[in-house]
Amino acid sequence: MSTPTSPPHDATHVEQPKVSSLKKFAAGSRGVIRAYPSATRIVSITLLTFLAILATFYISDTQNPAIGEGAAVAVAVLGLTWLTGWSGQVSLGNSGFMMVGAYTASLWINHHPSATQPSSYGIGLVLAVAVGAVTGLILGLPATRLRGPYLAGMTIAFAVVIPSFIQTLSFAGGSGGLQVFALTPPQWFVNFFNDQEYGYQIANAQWPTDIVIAIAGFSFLIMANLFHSKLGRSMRMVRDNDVAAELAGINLPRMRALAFVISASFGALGGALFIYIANTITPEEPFQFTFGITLLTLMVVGGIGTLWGAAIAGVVFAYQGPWIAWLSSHVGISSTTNLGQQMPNILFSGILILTMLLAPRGIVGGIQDLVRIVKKLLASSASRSETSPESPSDNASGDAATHSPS
Amino acid sequence: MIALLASLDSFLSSRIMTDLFYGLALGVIYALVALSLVIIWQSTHVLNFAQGAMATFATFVGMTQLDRGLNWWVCFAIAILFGFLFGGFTERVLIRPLYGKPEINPIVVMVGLLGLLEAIGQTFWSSSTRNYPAPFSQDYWQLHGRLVALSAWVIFEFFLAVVIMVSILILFQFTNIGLRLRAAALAPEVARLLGVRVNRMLTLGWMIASAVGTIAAIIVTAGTGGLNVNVMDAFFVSGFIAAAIGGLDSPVGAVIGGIVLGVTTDFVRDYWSGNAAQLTPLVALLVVLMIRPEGLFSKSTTRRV
Amino acid sequence: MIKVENLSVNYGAVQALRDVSFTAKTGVITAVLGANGAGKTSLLRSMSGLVKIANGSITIEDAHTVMVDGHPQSAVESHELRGMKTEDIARLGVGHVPEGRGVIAEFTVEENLRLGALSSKVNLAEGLARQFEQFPVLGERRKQYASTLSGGERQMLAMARALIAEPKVLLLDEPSLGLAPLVTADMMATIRQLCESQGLTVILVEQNAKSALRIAHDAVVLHIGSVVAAADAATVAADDQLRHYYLGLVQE
Repeated sequence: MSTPTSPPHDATHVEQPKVSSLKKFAAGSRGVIRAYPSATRIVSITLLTFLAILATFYISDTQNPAIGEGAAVAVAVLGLTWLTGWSGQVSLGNSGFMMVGAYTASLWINHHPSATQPSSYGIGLVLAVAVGAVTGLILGLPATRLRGPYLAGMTIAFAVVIPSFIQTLSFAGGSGGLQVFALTPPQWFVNFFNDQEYGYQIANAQWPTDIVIAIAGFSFLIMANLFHSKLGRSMRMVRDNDVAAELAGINLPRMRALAFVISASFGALGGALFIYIANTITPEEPFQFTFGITLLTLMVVGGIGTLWGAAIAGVVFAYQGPWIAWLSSHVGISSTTNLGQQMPNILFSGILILTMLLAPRGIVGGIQDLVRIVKKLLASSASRSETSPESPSDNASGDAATHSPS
Repeated sequence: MIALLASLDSFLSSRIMTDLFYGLALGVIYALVALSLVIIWQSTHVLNFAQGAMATFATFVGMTQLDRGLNWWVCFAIAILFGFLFGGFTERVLIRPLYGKPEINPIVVMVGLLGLLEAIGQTFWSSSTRNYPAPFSQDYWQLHGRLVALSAWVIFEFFLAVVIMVSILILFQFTNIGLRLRAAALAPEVARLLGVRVNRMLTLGWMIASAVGTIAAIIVTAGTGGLNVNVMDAFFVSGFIAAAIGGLDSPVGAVIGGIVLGVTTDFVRDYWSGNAAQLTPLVALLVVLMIRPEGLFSKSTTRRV
Repeated sequence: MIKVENLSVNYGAVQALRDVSFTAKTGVITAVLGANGAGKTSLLRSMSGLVKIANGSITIEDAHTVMVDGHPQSAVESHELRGMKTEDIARLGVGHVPEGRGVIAEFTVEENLRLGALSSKVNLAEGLARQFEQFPVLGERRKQYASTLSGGERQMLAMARALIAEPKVLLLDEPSLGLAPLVTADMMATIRQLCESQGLTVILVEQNAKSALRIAHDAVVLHIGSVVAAADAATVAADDQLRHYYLGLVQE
């Protein structure tokens, strides 16, 4: 849509081109990308991962698997955030990548003679990422030529077709799907942590969750570095202005395909991790195409294009069950009624719409805006005499983190 | 004479004609869904992911009236009217605030509406499939003992589809309203400068599209599908693929794309396998998009440096 | 008559127009001149409600004769354009031919003209006949798509499309842009003739100061958003300083 308020070309006159406001402009536009020193990045992500693992010691065994699933979903959201937030390609089909990853890992574990060996779980993950990357490439190649709705439509078609395709594969268990035993670590690893002397033992149900959180933390580390790498910066340039990016010598088709490959790898990894906890995969559950919409919701609610957004998405997914149950019981909706059963979907979709209309930058964006307002208030009260003109660079006034080239 | 009739019978009941009729019955639904998507795309550059859900919702509203004992045609009209108003409501409330925003925003909102409508639909009408009666016999014709894949209902379906397509064509190409609708879509600012109330035209575009989508949903449910909340999901995907093959900004392309897709899918199903038929739309989409990313009938060209 | 008073327009922190005031009289061509970035297009866009006005007012005054108790009396109808919607301004009788002409390329010549006539009370057939008489080449090409027209023909179509609604005010944004000198001269002559024959209030935005001053009665010179001169065209054309500093006209 063309907006009537877009300035025509002859409005180039800046009223008060103060150096300070120009500096602010430069700082503002860099704001989101501004690289933390990589050491700080590594330390903070590692620390948060350890905190998350520590938290699982204080959470009931019944809730622990949900935490693990949340961590797995966070990895998949990370992949989606890379694709949508950083390369500007909207995908509704990342549930398909999760399904591909989950089936690849499950097939490997099921068809491997040493099925219950912990090592086969590790190889399963590697294979899941590899097959996911190839799937991403297959989908990414046509995607290089598509924009916006065509792309979104193609990805939704992918997410719809993948389950029915897998159903036809004779070795994939048909509509019954596949079973995977719960992930257990090697005995030496368990012994290392379970100190006999002090009689301390980690509960069996907790192992898969902790391992998944650790792997998820590692994925966040990789993605954090991808964000700040040359590739990440090029990706953003493609998103913000593809023409300029092309003129700057960036190979657009390769960039877009690569975005899909990376996104699909993270999606497949998330899918495989999810199944290591959920233990069952069928063409219907849990990665039916509506799950792609769930991923999108989680990403949007958390905040598009940020690590924190993906982490928040994981937490929201992990706790959606108890939270919705709490809400339902407080407004007096029985879980046996139609409405009670649909509460999660109604809430998720409603929140998705409202977020987009009212706070398109999600929770992370909302917090950033809040911080900015507080800072502004503090600054204005500190130096009330110094009245500077409104900075033209208000980065926060942008909508979703993505700006499509019109 | 009798020999001629007999050969006509065997021709109409042949495998090819049977597949053609099946495929056409499917194809006109794809075409209507695609048409509905294209009208909205043309007017507001939004891909209406909730198209199927909105149409299903409207059909449910019609069915509740049917349950209360109203005449089929009255309920048909009620459903279409509801779809018409619902389209306008959606544009006003959910889409208008997003004009000029990044294109992911309307996509996300429409996906959210899809989820919301299906969830609300299930709370009202549960997830089970209900029978939705058809006003005409759906029994296939017997011609001298040979089965022809046509019924009174199928003929009505074809008739209805043709009437809608022709009316849409006349409306857009030959009326003043159509001229305003097209101008508002093609060049909103110029249209405003010429006194066209562009916002009203955009709303009207959504209303027309939503009504067309509702008709498609009624054909699906009163045909063989039955009515459940998810009944249009697959048709939305196929309809989108048809629209993308034809080019999202070409109504003619959408109709041709839909019919070709329906017929092709049915031939693949019969001559190859059902599994291959499931993959046909996606493969067709990928092939077309590789050759012409903007669709076969689109006039617009891809932006270049 | 159009009265612009203390008009300011901002794009974010950028001020495109600052305190602009002038009057464009009925039946007169007022040329708005200035370099690139002077705010000429912003001025026209604010008159049509396409950009938000930060400050000031734009009033359109329409003197016409009404019968009061059987006696003809002159009445002045006045409308404040600030805050009005673009389409309502257009329906009030303000024809705006935008920069780059804005013909709809996917429409035929006739469809473009039909669209122009739709929102007014004008009889379509009569309107078409009048425009084809004024611009015969459009009549020859009435069934052709606008995309097939030449630059000059497109400009004629854009003008005809604005004129068919019989506006009281005509806003022309750079009609000479991209036209050959001979075509420009033709175009300017047509504008002058239309203004005189139909009593139009014309505001002509031009970067091509020389050809605009040749036909204009009055002229307003803008420089980075402010009025530096507003006088009759002859005075402006004779002012060496204006010519040199703001209009880029070299001494002949």
